[in-house]
Amino acid sequence: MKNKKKASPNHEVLKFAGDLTIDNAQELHRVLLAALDNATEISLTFAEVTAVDLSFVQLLCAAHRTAVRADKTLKLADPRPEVLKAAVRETGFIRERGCNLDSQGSCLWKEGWE
Amino acid sequence: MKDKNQEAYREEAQELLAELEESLLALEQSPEDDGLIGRVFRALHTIKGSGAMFGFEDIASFTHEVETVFDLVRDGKMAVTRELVDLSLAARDEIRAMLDGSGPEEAPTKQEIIAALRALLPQAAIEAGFVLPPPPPQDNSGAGAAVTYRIRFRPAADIFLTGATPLHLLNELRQLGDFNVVAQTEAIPLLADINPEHCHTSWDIFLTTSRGFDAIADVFIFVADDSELDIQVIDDGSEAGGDYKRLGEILVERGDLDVDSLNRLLAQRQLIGEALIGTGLVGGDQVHSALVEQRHVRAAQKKRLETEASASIRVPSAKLDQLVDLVGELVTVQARLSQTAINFQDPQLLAIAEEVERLTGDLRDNALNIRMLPIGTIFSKFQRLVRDLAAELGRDVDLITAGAETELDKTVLERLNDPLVHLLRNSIDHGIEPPEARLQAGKPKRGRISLTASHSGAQVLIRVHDDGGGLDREAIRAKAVDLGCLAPDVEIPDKELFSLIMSPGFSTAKEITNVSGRGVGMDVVKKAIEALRGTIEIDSQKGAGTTITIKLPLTLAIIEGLLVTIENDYFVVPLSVVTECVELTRADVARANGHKIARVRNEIVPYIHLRERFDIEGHPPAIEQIVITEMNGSRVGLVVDQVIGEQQTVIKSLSRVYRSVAGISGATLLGDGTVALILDAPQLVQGQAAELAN
Amino acid sequence: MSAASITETGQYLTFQLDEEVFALDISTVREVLDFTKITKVPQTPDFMLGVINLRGSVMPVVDMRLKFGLSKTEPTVNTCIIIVEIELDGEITMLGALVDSVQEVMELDADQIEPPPRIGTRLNTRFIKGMGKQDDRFLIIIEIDKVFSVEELAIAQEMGGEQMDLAENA
Repeated sequence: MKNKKKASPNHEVLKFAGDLTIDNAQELHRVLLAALDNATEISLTFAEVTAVDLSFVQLLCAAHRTAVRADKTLKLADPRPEVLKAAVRETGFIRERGCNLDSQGSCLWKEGWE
Repeated sequence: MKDKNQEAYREEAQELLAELEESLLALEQSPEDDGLIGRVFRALHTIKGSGAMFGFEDIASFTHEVETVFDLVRDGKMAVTRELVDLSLAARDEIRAMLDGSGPEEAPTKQEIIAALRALLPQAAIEAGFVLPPPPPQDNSGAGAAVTYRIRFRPAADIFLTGATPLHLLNELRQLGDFNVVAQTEAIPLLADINPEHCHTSWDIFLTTSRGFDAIADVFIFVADDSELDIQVIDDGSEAGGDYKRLGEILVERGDLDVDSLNRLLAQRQLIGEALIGTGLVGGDQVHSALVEQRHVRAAQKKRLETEASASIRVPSAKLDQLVDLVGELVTVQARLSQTAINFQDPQLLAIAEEVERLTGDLRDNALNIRMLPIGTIFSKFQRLVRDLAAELGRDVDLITAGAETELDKTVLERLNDPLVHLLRNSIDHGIEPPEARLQAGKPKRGRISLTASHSGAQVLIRVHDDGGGLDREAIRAKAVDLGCLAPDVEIPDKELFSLIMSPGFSTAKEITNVSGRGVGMDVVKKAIEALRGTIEIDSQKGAGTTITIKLPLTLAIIEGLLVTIENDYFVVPLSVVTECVELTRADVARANGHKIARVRNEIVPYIHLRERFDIEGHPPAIEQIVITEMNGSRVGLVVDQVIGEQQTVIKSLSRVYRSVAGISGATLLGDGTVALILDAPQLVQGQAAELAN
Repeated sequence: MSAASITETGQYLTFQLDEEVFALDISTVREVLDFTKITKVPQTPDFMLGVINLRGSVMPVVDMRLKFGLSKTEPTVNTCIIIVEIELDGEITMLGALVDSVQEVMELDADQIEPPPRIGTRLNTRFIKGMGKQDDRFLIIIEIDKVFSVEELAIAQEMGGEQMDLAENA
């Protein structure tokens, strides 16, 4: 489902695969939480993702908020799987500008979803 | 043995079919006749029942479809329309063909008849699971105007646990039409605080669909109880397009921003979006959502404009009015031509006159038809109204509409809006009981108001029915006696009694609410309907609900009238209120001892002597005519010199100078160019009643 | 009425009621018809004669003699209906004025017109725009909008002017 790979002490790359859905929400939550505890720069990459639902999109939003608050960086790497793009589009998360919490201007939902 | 039975069934069925045909044809003439409806239903029921018994399964199953429809008609859930009668007759022929074992020559097939019958069923019946629903209408089929809704949806936090996924709901909505969604993410907590199995997102959804409010509500049916759901019409599809609201207005309308703050921001002369986010007054999500709403509605309006432009031509209605006027003149001249042709007795001229008559008739029908609009254009606004009012008054109410495609003259339609609004308000305020009271009375918690329109000959029937508490017969009686409208010991039929609530100053509401019961009541509605040359009737059963039936002419431009004379003057009585004509002899007058009453088949009918009422000089003929009218269940005669006959005439408004003359609603031109005045029968009767009361 | 408003040369249609000659600003006159059958509208004042059919329109006709306090018009071959355009209650409308005879269209310069006399006419001075002189005769120039103002035509009975007013109940 996911893999951890340390790129550098402060940089952590999370690799996601499989069902990113409510059934695995608890575990996905733990993984993201741990990564944000450990690293200052986190990249999320995606491999064979088979399903994405709202719970994961919410988690990404929460993770990004947490990163911004802690002055850390959280990025989504390309390529992004179509199921993820579709979930983000269909749940109406896409934005032209970030929300009020997005002080870095690094909102996840601005680009890369079409 | 079996064959013998089948033979007997065939014979019986033939008889039933003959009766069915007869009843259907009679029903076409008097579509409201409950006796006839009952006969039709029984005939169908027997054909079906015996058919199944004697092995005519195909007949039984086919007849069942027709019977289903008439069951609804019998329950008052559907009106008898020309279309229904046509289809039923076709069905009858089909059954007959099945009995004979031969196919019909050119009738539509069984399936076509069934499909058409199902299409006639009111939405309510379909929802109640009464029958299989017809296939959903195609988008842009013109069935109803595409309305744009703003849906704000905040699911319960534990929605995932119930098995419903928000994504599916959104995608279901997406199926309904043009769709945009904006997630409101502000409530999503930090990672440390988040419960990953809860839903922290809410949505603003913008949906343009012609499928109606109910289709949207259905999507949320399993989650509605635990969710916050707010569905608003933000564009009812009737406006010609152009500019939608400004961003600030949208936010204020949604309650995201208060007016004062908006005005302060506007004073800063910045782009409002920038200014809003800069100040942090409104969240970025909310601004984004408002922007999406603005774009969505503008796109919907643009699309509508484009479709309209391609499918139709926009013409100022003044031009259409002018066309109708010209056609009216042509009709008058044509009548003169026909009269002249008859006088000359020239076969060639007669032939031409007949041809012109036919063409003029077609032209007139066409010209009037252009001004017809489907009543659905005003129906769509009522969903919102009912919803808001119900919420305000603490009622649970569904509004079901049917017959949105029924067409009415534009002018009639415009002037129908206010009365209908008032009737719906009454239904919610005084009709539908509060949810607890309904449960106690053994009714479903949600009240149901149905608003249906249908054609019936040259008239349109509009019904507002609620399944509320019904009218309080005794309270109305007591009030009527109080007001002196009714003698304490007189029994009158319910219809007549209920019509009293439309008298000025009549309100039995025990407490006056914000919504209705402020003295502006049914009398205003009645006046408005009568101004449209319509009639209004109230039916009610205590505990079961109230039905208000409005009958309107298809158009205000033409009237079916009875032409009468008094001395040398011509008058037209609208045929819609006339029931019969009887003679009034001097002897009759003498017998009544100075009372203006006549005995018509053992019933006492008061009359108005128009010659006296209008101060027309001269002497009445020895035998005068009484035109008996019926309005609100009571009969009143109008005495004239002579009844000439029925006429269809184009209505001319009397000049502004005469607009306030009591008892005259307009004028019309006769074949020889003479002006005849159109009598305003309800007003005449009312005037007389007022006079007698004094 | 000040003289300032009638300083230009104007064309006037003159007509006769009894012995008196009246003039109407020609711009208010649409056409002149011969006498025709008039249908009385019941329950209206006597001077409101009724309506006629003017090429498919229903046109009200007023007896000018009765309106100006003379006896009722007895139609003769000279009797005419002058169709005038008036502003009634802010809207342009047309009606017919029944007169004994129509005479001519004439021009009057401003200096041929005097303000209406305060006294000495049978006619209510409110209706008079001014007095014109033609040869040695006086013409009474009529202010037609005033003659047919809402108040003058006030036949409003209790049914008039009522409107649905449900909206405020919301």
